[in-house]
Amino acid sequence: MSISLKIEKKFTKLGTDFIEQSKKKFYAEAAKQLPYVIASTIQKGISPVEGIGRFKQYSPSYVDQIEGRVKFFRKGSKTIAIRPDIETKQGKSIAEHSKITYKNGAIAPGKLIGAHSKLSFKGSLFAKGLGHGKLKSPVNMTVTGVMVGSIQGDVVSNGALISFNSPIAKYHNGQGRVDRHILPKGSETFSSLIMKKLRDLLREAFNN
Amino acid sequence: MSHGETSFTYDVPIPDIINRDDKNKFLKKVGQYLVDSMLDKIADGVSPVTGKPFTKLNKEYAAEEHGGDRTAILDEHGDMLQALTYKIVGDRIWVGIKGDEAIKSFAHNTGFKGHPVLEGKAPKRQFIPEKGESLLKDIMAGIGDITDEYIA
Repeated sequence: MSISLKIEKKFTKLGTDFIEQSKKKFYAEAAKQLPYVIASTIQKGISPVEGIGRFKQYSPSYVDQIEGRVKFFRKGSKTIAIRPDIETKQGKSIAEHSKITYKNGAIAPGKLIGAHSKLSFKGSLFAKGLGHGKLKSPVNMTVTGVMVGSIQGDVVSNGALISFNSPIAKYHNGQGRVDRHILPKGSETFSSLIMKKLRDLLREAFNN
Repeated sequence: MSHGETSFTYDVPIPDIINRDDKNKFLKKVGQYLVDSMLDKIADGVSPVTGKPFTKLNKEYAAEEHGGDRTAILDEHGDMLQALTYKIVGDRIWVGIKGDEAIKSFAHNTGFKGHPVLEGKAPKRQFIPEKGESLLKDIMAGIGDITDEYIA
């Protein structure tokens, strides 16, 4: 997943060499500094994409899953999430948690492990400890740090390319259920916070 | 600033050249920028109003809850900062916290003013400007850049 930067504005009053050199300087600095700026913004819980702001908090039912209070079962064609600790008319053990009953064919997030008597058992959602990074605030896309750390910047022909190498990154940019965008896509732009940093780099490149 | 609302209002200088359609987009952009910039400073443990670091967390509390990191980022469960938002009111932008989280925000911003036990004891960690105050110059300078986008 990536985004490329290019200067499109025309500088008619400036010399061609100066413009080309300044552009090169800007692209080099953007490739070097922007990955750090974006990663640090994400880790503060703020989306680098315009209009999103602070990343949405996880839903209470998802936190339940992370904390292992919810287990998933396959019942016929349905995946059912249960809260063993919630007592219902049907009894404690197979209380159905209606809010997170998945439709037929939907993929429940997490690991598919084990088997449980009559029902196929999907296990707790996360291996012990792994999901607990998600219980911290802010929501900052950091559980192991691999995804955020996979950001890199490269100077390409006439531009700078910023990309996340981790395959997980795309799930935050619209392929997951909740969008927590970490790079602009389509007609989106960087947030004004990131744009301010880019403008500072641009000024430095053209002033020196 | 009250228990029910901690906020400030910013009178945005809107250049005449910005047409009516763009004005709303422009104001939204400025509003989001102000909120993002405040969150950015707070996450560094720095007041977006004074520019000074927030009073560090108590040593024992930091050891128990934050792995020893004493930087105060006002983000225990995230509910208060999640409630920090902006609204466009005419040509002005309202930025602040309303509702359930406002009382928490009031306490941090005033040093627990009026609290029977904590007033004068718990530190003030201000992140919303009082009347007559403003956000940091560095933050406000970014608004000029946004304006330039619309008049270029």
